[in-house]
Amino acid sequence: MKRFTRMIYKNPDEMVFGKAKFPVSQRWNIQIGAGYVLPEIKVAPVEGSEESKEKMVSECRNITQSACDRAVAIGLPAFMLEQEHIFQQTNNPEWTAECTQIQAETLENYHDEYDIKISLRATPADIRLEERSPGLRESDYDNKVMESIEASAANGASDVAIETIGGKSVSDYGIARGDPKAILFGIGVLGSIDMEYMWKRIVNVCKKYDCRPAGDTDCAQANTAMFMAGGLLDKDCSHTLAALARAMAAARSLVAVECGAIGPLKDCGYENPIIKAISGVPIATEGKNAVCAHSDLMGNLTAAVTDVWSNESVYHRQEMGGTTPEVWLQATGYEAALMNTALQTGQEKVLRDLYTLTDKYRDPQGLVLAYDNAYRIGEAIVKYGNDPYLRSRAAALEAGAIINEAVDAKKMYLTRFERDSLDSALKIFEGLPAESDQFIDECLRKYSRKIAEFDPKSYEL
Amino acid sequence: MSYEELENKMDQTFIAVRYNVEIEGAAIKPEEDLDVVNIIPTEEPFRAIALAVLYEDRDASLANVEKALANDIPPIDIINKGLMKGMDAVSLLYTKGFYFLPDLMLAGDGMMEGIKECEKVLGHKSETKGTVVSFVAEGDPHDIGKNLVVMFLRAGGYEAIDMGRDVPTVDVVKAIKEHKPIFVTGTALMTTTMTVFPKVVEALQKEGLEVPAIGCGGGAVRKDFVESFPMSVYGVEAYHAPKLADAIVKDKKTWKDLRKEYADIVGEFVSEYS
Amino acid sequence: MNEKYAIALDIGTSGIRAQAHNLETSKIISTAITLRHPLPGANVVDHLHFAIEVGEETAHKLLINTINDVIKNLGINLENVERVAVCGNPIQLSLFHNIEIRDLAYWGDNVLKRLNITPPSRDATIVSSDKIGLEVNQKAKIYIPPAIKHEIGADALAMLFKSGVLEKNGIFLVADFGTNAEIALVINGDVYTCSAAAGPAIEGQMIEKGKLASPGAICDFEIVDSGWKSQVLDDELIVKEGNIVDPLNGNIIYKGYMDGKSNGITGTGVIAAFSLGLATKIISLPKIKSPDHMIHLQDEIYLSEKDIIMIGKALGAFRAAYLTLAEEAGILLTEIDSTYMAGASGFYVDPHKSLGVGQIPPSSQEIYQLGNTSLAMANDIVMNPDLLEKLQEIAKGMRSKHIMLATSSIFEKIYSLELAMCEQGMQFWMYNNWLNKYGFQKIPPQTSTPQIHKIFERDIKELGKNGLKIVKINSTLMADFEECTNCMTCTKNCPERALKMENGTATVRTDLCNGMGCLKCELSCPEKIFKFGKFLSMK
Repeated sequence: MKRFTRMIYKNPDEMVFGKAKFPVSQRWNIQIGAGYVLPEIKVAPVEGSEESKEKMVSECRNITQSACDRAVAIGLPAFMLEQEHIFQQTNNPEWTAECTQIQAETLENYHDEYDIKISLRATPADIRLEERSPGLRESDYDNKVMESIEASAANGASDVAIETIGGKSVSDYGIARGDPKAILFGIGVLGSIDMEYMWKRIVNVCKKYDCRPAGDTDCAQANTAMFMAGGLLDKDCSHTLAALARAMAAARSLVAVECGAIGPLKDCGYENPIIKAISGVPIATEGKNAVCAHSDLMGNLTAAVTDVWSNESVYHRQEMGGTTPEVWLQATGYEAALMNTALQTGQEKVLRDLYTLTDKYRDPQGLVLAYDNAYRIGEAIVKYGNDPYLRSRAAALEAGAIINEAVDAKKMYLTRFERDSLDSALKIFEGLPAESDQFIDECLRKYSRKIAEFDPKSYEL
Repeated sequence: MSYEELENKMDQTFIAVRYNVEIEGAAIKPEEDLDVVNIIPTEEPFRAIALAVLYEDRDASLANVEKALANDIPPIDIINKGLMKGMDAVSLLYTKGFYFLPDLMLAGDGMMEGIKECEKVLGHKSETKGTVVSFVAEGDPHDIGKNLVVMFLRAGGYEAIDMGRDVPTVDVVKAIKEHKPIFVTGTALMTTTMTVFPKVVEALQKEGLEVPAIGCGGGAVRKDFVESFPMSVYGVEAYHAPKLADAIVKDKKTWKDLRKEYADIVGEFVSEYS
Repeated sequence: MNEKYAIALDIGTSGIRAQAHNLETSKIISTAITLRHPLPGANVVDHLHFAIEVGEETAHKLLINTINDVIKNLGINLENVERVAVCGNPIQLSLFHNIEIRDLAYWGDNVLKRLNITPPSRDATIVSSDKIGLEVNQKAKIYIPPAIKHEIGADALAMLFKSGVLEKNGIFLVADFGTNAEIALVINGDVYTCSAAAGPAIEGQMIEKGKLASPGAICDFEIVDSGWKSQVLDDELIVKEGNIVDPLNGNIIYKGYMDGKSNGITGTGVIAAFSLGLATKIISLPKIKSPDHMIHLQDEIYLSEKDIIMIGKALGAFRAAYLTLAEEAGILLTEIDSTYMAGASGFYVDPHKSLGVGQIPPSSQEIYQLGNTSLAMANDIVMNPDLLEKLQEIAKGMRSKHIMLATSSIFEKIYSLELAMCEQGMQFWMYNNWLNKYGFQKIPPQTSTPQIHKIFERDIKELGKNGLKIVKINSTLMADFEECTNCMTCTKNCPERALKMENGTATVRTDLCNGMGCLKCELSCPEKIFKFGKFLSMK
């Protein structure tokens, strides 16, 4: 596996939405990152549909049908439909097969009839349980995940993505207790190890079919920190620490690309701009049109260098303006239209900068993901590119430096809570060993005792 | 227009307000506090010495003082222009609600380490505003209150003789004879032990001794009990101790005055005295 | 009817509980309790102080008279009582036994040496009832269980014995929450103990509108609609639905069955209000964020900021205490396998709220509410007298280490953080940072899935076929003050209206009197002739 030790983008200003250094082509005549932005719609099956395969298949068909109807009704030239699996879908690969198949058939009908460009993304759930023997590797659940990925690829998915959970046991502990070392170990080391285990296999499966290995997000870890951090007034997790977690997540999620994933990277990876800067692959992101799923502090900023603009997730139900697949595809569709207009008129860099500036100083978490800062974090990562631990630590330290510079320039102010946790985290990171082995030894000793769910065997440690 | 140009055109607060910062205030370095700026000296080595106290760094405090002493800086100056200024700033930040009890305790340790070092060179105790004797009632092990009182007194520039916990009355009398304190503090947590306070007063009277005031306080101790015997004043909060001592030293107040003017002397509303 | 009986007794700081057993059927017949203690004072140190200042003999007699009243209400022929077992903390048991108590009143050697006090043996012992003065068959044997060590009494032995943790492998936290909480951390049979002086707020005392658990007391709250719904004890001490009230202003949202019938709030009620106040951010220590800085409850009962600080400090003392034990023992709070809450207040409190306010470690996954373990152990002894010897063996063989919190530098550091939170409004994240700075573990996050095991319906496991009788204490003491001018200042100043004065003869209701912790009668006497120490004669 070749790791990134230099940047694909030569400077941050090269980065813009709708364009990636390495566009991706998929079936149904679609290109991603090739000059236009794709809107994405993702809808969670209604409660009760998990009761039987028949219900689930019909639910998936209905969602797809609704999305297609609205897409042609408002004139969208292209869109992506993502199906994020619930437990039962992944745990029963034959459900995956039938659900994917019916979605692919439905989409193909629309493609044939309207020539609309369509992408179908299948995202099996990572249902592995670290605390249940034999852990993350080679358990029944592990096998089901892989079977489900294969079933998706074989039955018409344009690409597959996943949100793997390696290292979550340790990072959760660290996030809940404000322990930066545990976060670094959980995301940077354990997350990276498990990513490699998962993605080498996923890429091999995809090669057998007309299906692209897309990407993985650190939803299980960095997003946990972001959700715990919450709004400006919440104090369960400091926003500065969440920003550092995000930077580390980039070093971890990059592993998928290093294993052969080609994008577009999965939407809820807020760290994606950093990975795009490093690797040149297209990315999906989410922000203001994902308010149906959760709240973040960077609703516009995440659009700046996106290639696929997503609504994240919404329950399948009726809104005043139609069903949720219709309503939220319309929302992401119009936003993509604005970006595409900017691309067509040569104004994309202006719009990119406006998107960025609306949220750049709203919160440290947004600040470190502004494309210029994301690029800097990327540089820090590739400098130590061959060592997952060192590059994660470098990412965190760079994110800390970015925040401190903004504070010194009086562009952003921090509360004592944010200040103290940043200072203490940076102090801890600076004092860590320079050798990966030593760091891993220390962490194994400390955390295998403290965290019952953590099983070093799951990482071959 | 470049990114930077766009950014510089913006009034950030027009776009987004960090309400957490609005409400709690921005984190600043303690020495940047507008009032602290006026306390901390600008001149070295005093600034470094004061900052080490302000940053509650015992090792740095000691190292700075040792270095200054080696450079023949007069120990009295190190104490008054450095260590005490640092502690003044800590006390100020404490009253502002920026620093808390543990900050005071840690900073106080740093200050005391430095003073001890200076006194070694000086060959005698440094000049203070006065001497105070502090004890915990006989039979009582609870000394957190006394430790706080001692710390506040020292931070306020007094020499506080710490007699520790479970101090027999005869020892208290002996210490008063020896040190001739301007103020005595006695603390007790248990109702069974607070009864020694009047006994201390009795023993002093028997020997014909008098002190301006004995401040009594602690968990179970109440004002009406303390005022049922002479020479005493009920102390409500540990940080009132140096203010009471100031009133004795500067304004020659007696225990009777302290009882009458307590709230004025400590400069705040005290429900027990209202 | 010539059945043979036995009596189990628990002497608690807030009341006496007795149960009658039929020795032939091995069944509990009846239960009788008081809701107060006959000695003046709000806590056990007050009781002790009273005994020292007014007279140990008087204190002993007051206690025994009340116990005699209680057992008369058990509805059995006391002549047929063969044995009695008693349990309680060392002060109560020493008062009962009428042995030296002064060694328990002072710490360190200085006072003991000066007063020439020799600490008595508090080993297990059997005495005859005529020695104690119990009005049962004079040949009946009275079983007194051992203290583990000087500082750790039979009550602590009871909670350890009844929780069954001494023989188990694992890490267990056992606590009896009261004014003085006994807390033990048991690690594979090694016992670390401490006693946390939480203060009387935990029993609802020293709270402006607080009271002990009794009819009309609010004992719990839950959030319903936009208000707080109170739970109120009725005349039978059964929890009944109270009003839903907006805590910010006292407006009634819904009138419950107990509308107009509450008259105060218990310690568990205060903990519940504190917990809801923190959760809803109405409380931001040391402030209450309502227009008048009060939390309004039903029937014009309220909590003030002073009350909130009191309860905050009491709960802080618990947290600082178990954290000190964990640090001393070198374990993490998250490693505790189960947490046991003993005693009445540990039984009636809602453990979900205890987790949130720090009364027990927030990471406690398995929580057992044991109820009154002192009475339970006394019951065990009367049914199986040989147990006494075994308890002595357990006490002797226990590998225990007592941590004196007052002299522990760990506790001092942690408690100063608690004070900073309660009184100065230091934020919890800073508290945790400070722990880290001191090299201690941080307080773990709260578990979302605690398993709560409440084995019985009430703190006393079984009341017996004749049920529960609540006995009113009516003990008084008298004293003559010849120079009294009948100005009545003393009676007017009595906060509990426990004092009567007639022509220089003062009569005090000892169970109502706040005792040595108050002394307002003596201190307010303009003639300086009122002396509390003169209350020696019993009516």
